[in-house]
Order: sequence, then structure tokens, then C-alpha cells
Amino acid sequence: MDTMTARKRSRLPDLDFDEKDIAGLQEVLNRPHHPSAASDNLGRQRRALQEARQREAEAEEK
Amino acid sequence: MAVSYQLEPRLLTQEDQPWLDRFAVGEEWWSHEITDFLRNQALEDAQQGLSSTTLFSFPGLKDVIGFITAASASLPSPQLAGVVTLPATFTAARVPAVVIPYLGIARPYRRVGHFGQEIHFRLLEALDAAPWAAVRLLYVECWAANDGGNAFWQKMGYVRFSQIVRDHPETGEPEYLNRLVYDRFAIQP
Repeated sequence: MDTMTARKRSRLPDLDFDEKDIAGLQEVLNRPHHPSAASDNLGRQRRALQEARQREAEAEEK
Repeated sequence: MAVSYQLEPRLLTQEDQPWLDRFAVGEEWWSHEITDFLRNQALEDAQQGLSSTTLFSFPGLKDVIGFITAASASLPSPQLAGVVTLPATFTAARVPAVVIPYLGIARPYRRVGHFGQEIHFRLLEALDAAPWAAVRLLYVECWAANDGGNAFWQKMGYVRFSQIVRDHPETGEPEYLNRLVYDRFAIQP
């Protein structure tokens, strides 16, 4: 008898959406959007990271 | 102004196995899931082309400080046909997306250095730098019990749009799982 057991694979997103999931996603998609906003949002994320690092550096100096 | 990066990325390969064995996210059950994926499944998935895992280490070193796994996908949106012009043959519209199955930070670095934020930013930056194909959404799932994980994704701008039930990875009991998206094209107020 084979006593080896297969390792359980890690959970991966299945993307199996029901109507409720799709309705929730649609709400997000319906918010104001435009492809040109991507660079603004990237800049916002960049500033957030810089500011977080700056705050941490200042806290370490104190 | 450029961000001063503290980590150096590299694509996961077979040679990284010794470093993966030393990597652990933490003691919580959801942390075990993330650690287990990186140690035992990420390379196989990458070799099959199912996802791509990028490891991050301090410059010149190999110890894994964090990692991110990503795959291209699309999310269903039947009402998209009313938002954009689609060929008449489309029966179910889908929105192009990047799925992030896992993002993990080594336990000693979870509360310091903003490494998760840097790793996520590096992915956004890469998508912005090479816009050969449209990617509007980034999609993640996070166990509802993982308060820190949910707070992280929401701080990154993700919106929770649904909650589903999936098997707890260790006990098999029903467990709530949050579904979140980040809209790269969202116009901020």
C-alpha cells in the first residue's frame, strides 16, 4: 500500500464569482475612473511610501 | 522624486530553495499558508507559467525579506458592456486584472521598514512602466480573521467588495475570506 500522502496545495484565488460578488465589483468599477488616473495614483503611492519611511526615520532619531 | 528602495528584487528560481527554507511569515494560521506556498508551491507554479514570484532581499544579500506572487487574469463584469464599447460577440465582459495570490514579509520585518508597501509599490511601478497590455484592477483575497492583512490592503487603496466562505487551510472549518480590488484608474476625490 502506498503510504505517501500528497501535500495539500496552497489555496489560490479561484475567481469563481457569484452574482453578489459581481454586483460588489461593479460598484467599484462604476466609480469615476480614467486610464490617465493611473499615473496620479502611482505618484500618490510613491509619496505615501516616502512619507512613511520619513516618519520612521524621524522616530528612530528621537 | 524617486523613492529610495531598500530591497532588491529577483525572480524566484530553483537556486533560491535554501533561502526559502529559512523564510517564515509568522505563527498565525494565515501566515502558515503564506509560508507554505512560498516554500512548497511557488516555484512549481512559476515553472508551469501559472504565476510569477519575485523575491526581495537587502542589496547584495540573499535572505528573503519578502515576496510577491502575481498572475494575469480577468474579473467578470456583465455590466461592463454599458461602460465601454465591446464587440457584439462578447457575451460576458471581463476586466483585465492582476491577481496577487500571496504577498509575504518575513516575521522580523513585518512591523518595521514598510517593506510590504515597497513591494506593492514596485509591482504598481512595473505595471505603469510597461503598459503593453491594459491592467485596470489588482485583486487580492485576505482571510477576514487577518486584521493586519486587511488593514494593509485597505491602506494600499484596496476596496473590499465581497466576502465569501472558504475552508480553513488547517482545520477545514468554514472561514470568511475577503475579496478586495485596487482600481489603478480610479479618480481620487
